[in-house]
Amino acid sequence: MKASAIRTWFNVHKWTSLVCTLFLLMLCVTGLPLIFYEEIDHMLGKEVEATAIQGESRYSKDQVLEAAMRHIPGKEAKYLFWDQKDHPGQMFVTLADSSEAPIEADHYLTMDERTAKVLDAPANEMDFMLIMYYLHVEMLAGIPGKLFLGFMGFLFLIAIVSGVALYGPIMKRFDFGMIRTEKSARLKWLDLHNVLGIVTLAWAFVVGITGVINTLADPALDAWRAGQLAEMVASYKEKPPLEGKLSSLDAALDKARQAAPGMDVSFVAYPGTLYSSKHHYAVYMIGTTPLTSRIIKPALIDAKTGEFTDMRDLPWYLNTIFISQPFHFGDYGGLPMKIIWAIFDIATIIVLISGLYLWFARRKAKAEQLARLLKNSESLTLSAVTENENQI
Amino acid sequence: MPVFLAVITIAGLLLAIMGTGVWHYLSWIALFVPVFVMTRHSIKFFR
Repeated sequence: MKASAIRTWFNVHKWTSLVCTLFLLMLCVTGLPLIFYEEIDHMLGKEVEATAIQGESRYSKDQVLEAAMRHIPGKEAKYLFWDQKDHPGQMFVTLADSSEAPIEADHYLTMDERTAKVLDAPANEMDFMLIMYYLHVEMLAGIPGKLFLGFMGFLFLIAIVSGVALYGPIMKRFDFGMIRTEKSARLKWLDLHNVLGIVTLAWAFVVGITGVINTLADPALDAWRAGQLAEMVASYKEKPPLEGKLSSLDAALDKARQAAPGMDVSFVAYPGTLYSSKHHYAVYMIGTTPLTSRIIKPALIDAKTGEFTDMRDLPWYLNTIFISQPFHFGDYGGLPMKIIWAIFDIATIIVLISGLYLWFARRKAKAEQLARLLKNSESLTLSAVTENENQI
Repeated sequence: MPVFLAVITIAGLLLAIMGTGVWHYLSWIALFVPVFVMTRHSIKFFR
């Protein structure tokens, strides 16, 4: 590589890193507890187990939901969610003042499907994990915060690519993984930066790019609502808003299962929420194998008449977001994978801090070099400069 | 070495999504390689 090309890559690496480093540090630090959210919930005694009654539930899903709504009166249902793999027999219910209420005002209930009892209904307040979550996702600044972090993530990706471009020329004459401890502190830090940077490269790139993709969820959802969803419910455009009692939830689930045989129900979005139209239950079906469970297909069921309206594959951009999520969260390979995720995360923190140190150290070294140059240069030059300044 | 590490990391990330059980074990083994390599080399820094 030519010297000029190296210099260009160096500047790209320096500036993209400098701009994003503090935000990336925040993301790495807040992300660390989020990796273990299930384990932390469990430790804090927040996780609940369903009663160990075997057999089919005596209660319909409608009844379970009614019990949830009785627990917090005056609310509307927004979303229902199931997790057959890790929490069988439980139904997760999201309630709010209205279907269009912001996510911050949501109430979450865990219901036992076999007894129609409330297993858990945490108070709607910020706890440590939620603060970590909102800092990580949007810096407590809503969609603009989220998109801003997406841009920082994009800079991080450029920093990774430029770092790799520099790695080759720098390491050309050296062995992989050397740490020069006997020379200057700067070289020692540079070597640490290089070895950790190159080893975490693939992981950091995958987690970085899937993170950036995730920040685009809101605009992607808007695009879907304005595009495919609007098309699917075109005939409902002139219909008055829904009033009164909704059609049966159980019947809607059955309709969706008939439309997508061999698939499981993952979650239900109620009419008026972000994930549905104003007149439909959107029943999101997923495949039953680890691979196909990432492919989500919503069936729209008229929430007044209970009739099946339409079901289509989600557009590619929403599929991309859903498929990218596990690769960001690291929650798809058990506890060992989470520990590996945490180690990579900590290594990335060290890469960021050592990069920052190198920038400071280089500036300091340059300033010292300049001071030496000035000191050694002829006093004539200096006095000439002073004279010039006086004239100005 | 860097190329090998990148390939084995990506393989580890993909293996776990293919299934549970043996897929998870293979994934953990693959991902342990870069973790081991970076621990072994960076330990010199802290000594």
